[in-house]
Amino acid sequence: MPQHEYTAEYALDLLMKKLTERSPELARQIQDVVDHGKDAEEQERPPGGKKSRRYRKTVPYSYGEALNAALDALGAHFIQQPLIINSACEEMREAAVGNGSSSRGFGFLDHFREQSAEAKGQQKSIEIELVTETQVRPLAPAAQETYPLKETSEAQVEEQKQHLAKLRALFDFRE
Amino acid sequence: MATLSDLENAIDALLDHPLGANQFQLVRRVEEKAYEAYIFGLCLRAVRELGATPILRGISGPPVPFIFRGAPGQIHSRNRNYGYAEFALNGQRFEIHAGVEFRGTSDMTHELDVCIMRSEDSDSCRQQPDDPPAASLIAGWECKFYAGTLDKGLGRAYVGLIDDMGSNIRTCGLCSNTGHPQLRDYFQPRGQS
Repeated sequence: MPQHEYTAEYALDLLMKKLTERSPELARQIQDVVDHGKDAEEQERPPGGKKSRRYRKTVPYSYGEALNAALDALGAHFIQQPLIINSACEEMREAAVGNGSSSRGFGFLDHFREQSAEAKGQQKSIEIELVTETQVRPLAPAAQETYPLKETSEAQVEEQKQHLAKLRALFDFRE
Repeated sequence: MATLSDLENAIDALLDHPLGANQFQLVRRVEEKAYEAYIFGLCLRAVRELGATPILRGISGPPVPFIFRGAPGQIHSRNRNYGYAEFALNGQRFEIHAGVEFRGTSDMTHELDVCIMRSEDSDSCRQQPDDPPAASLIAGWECKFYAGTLDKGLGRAYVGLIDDMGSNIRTCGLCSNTGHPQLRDYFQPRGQS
């Protein structure tokens, strides 16, 4: 008796359909990952009992493998990316903040004195530039010039890890 | 038995979570740069572990907020108050930068995603606007955030980049959240992984 009411092919189709409904760009990225295929080792058996040889060949993923590749890619966006931002925020929090623009003109000891040591351990505001220096600016100013990095709670990351694990179990078609 | 309804609900739960598809729409433009910020943060941690204190600075004043470049740029650029970090070790001053362009030994300029360089050279390039020379570079990392397998071409580009950065560089690497089995082989014999 089959363990699933659906096939791996149907599951992949459904995942891609739902992804496309929510974010066509993310769906395209995941499709690229799925279409990348994998390296496999093929074996050639020459006629006449000659020694067989092995060679590399790029082959498509099976539907089951494609589902796992898609989940790995979604995990990069949904779990790794928030953890990466959390780590960046944490490491920046432990750094001191200099009052001047540059240490030029300060003596070596002054360089240490002029830092604002109390900033160590404090949350820092971190932003990534969206409108870059060389970008030709449109007449209408951009809605957002920079993107602020915000930490995510461990509980939210944990929830999403569980969602991913549950889906991985539903994508397990091994007998 | 896993039902169709189980499958639908599980996909919806993943995609509709606050860290799901909507969050991707917000951060997709900065994912790669956020990864550079992560590697920059690991450099800060390494400095602290060596007993030094990293100090965050901005090109034009206190780095509030601390701004990471969205594209490769010049170390002397004041287009925004771009951030960097400074630290002193063994009587020498160094700086950690992200997204700054260097002049290679061939005179071609190259962006280093994250790097450590001598403060003396960065001071000089800020005072008299110029690209820092390859010789000022102590360490450099290329940072790639990928959802799938890493492109093999990135490995070739990295080798070409480091080859043009002279012989002062002490440590370097291609950092990524993912990999490619052939890239591991490509780097291994040369000791570049």
